[in-house]
Amino acid sequence: MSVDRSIETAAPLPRIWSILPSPEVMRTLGMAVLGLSLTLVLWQLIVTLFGVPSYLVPAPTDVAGALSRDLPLLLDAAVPTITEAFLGFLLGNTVALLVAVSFVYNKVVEEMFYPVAILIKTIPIVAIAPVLKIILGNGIEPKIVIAALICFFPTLVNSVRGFRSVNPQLLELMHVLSASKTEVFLRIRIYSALPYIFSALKISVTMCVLGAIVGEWIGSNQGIGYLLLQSMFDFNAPRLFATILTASVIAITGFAIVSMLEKWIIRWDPGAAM
Amino acid sequence: MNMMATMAAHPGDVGISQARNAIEIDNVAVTFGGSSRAVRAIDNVSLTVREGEFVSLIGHSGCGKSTLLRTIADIIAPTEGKVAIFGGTPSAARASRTFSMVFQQSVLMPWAKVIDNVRLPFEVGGANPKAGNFMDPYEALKLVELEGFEDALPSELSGGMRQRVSIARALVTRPKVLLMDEPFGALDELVRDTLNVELLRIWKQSGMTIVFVTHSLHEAVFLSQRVVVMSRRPSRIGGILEVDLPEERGLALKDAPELGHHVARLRDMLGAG
Repeated sequence: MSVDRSIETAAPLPRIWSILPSPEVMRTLGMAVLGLSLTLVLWQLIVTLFGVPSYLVPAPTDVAGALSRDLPLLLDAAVPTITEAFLGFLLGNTVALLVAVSFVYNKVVEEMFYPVAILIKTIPIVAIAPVLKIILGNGIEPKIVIAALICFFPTLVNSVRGFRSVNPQLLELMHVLSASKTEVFLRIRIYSALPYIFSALKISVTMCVLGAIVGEWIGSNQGIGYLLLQSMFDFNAPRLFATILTASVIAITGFAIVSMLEKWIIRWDPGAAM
Repeated sequence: MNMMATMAAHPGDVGISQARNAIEIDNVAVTFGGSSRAVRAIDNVSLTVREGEFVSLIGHSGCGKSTLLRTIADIIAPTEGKVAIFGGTPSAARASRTFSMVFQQSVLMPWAKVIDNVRLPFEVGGANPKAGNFMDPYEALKLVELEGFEDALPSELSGGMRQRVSIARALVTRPKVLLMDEPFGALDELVRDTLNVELLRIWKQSGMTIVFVTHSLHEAVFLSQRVVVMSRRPSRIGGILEVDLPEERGLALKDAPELGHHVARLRDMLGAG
């Protein structure tokens, strides 16, 4: 039954998604929905047939119940988490881009500080979190910084590679045209780096949600991370699952927004040889 | 006709007999790498190109013909000797847009529309289209027969069309000298033939001086007034062939026996070099 219903809900999708109409996309989407529905059905069957208590593993119907019952609670918890993740995303990526630019234009800076960046990357984020709590307190700041830290490294590495991925002949052309370093950067390097930067942003947009949640675990009385811990202490497994689902919806939405931005900005074929 | 009028306004139209020297290469040598593993790419090359002349550089691959072109274009500085363009340094000529360069690849910005690619020489390097004697970018595209493709992206064009865009970008500053580094080497033969004929038309209209690097003997003979043969590394000038073919050259000439004779002589010179 639930398989049939999911196909019904998928049917009006072409009208809603008419901005990206390709039939392959529709097929991919349809298959994913089908797979997900089958998994849910299987999960429901196993839990029901084997009589697993819902405080251990809730059935999809239990989670759906919790989702509708606790919706105001979940939305309330989502607001601070989204705020922290978003600000961390902005902070981490801005700093990473600035550092990448300084690396590309100054070899000495790169030689000195790339190892530092790698060092920071090697420390597990859960180990840094308590330190940041001590330094920055219980407010929103440590969560933002943790989310930013987690975004920083992938964007740094990718954008350094991106800024360097310039077609060397384009650089020669710019030399023949007597272009300044700034002109080369603004007209060539940024565009060459954009595909690399976007693949980093797609990684970091999901990672920053994780960063915000870890930050909330260390010390918070609001947000998705707090609600996860609270539901665990209460043995409220359906709500725990509903909270996980909310976190994942936040991350997926972020990913979708970045992907759309990418499609909108990168209209050329980055792989094409000119 | 309109195009011809705008292009011919150029001082290059004076007869060859009274022409100035466009490029003077005086005892130029280029060495790559450090002192221990130095490789001498070209050695002791002297060559004078007159204003309005079409000269090809030809030689075995890796013989340093591109290196020589790059020293003229101020991309590589000669280790010894000097290059002068209309009496000035290559670097001054570069800053004043006296020459343009066309590469083997079209070297377009894939993110920019065709017209914006053609406009690039106006927008960087302190160029001022108002002050300079520059061409309208749309006019430049008309000259290479790409009207109607102004708003296309480079990826929407064929390889030959992309190379036309890069020629339009080179012409848009009305350079006195056009440096071309195997510009049609990556294209198939039919497209190459067409572009050869068009390049001759543009050269005639503009009175530009063209230095053209190629490894195709036929192409060199078909296009040039003189063909400079370069020997193997370290490269020197092995000989210069004066091409004795009519001024008006059409596609039919590509298969003419006179052209074949020239090619045979070039092949001899290459073997001897």
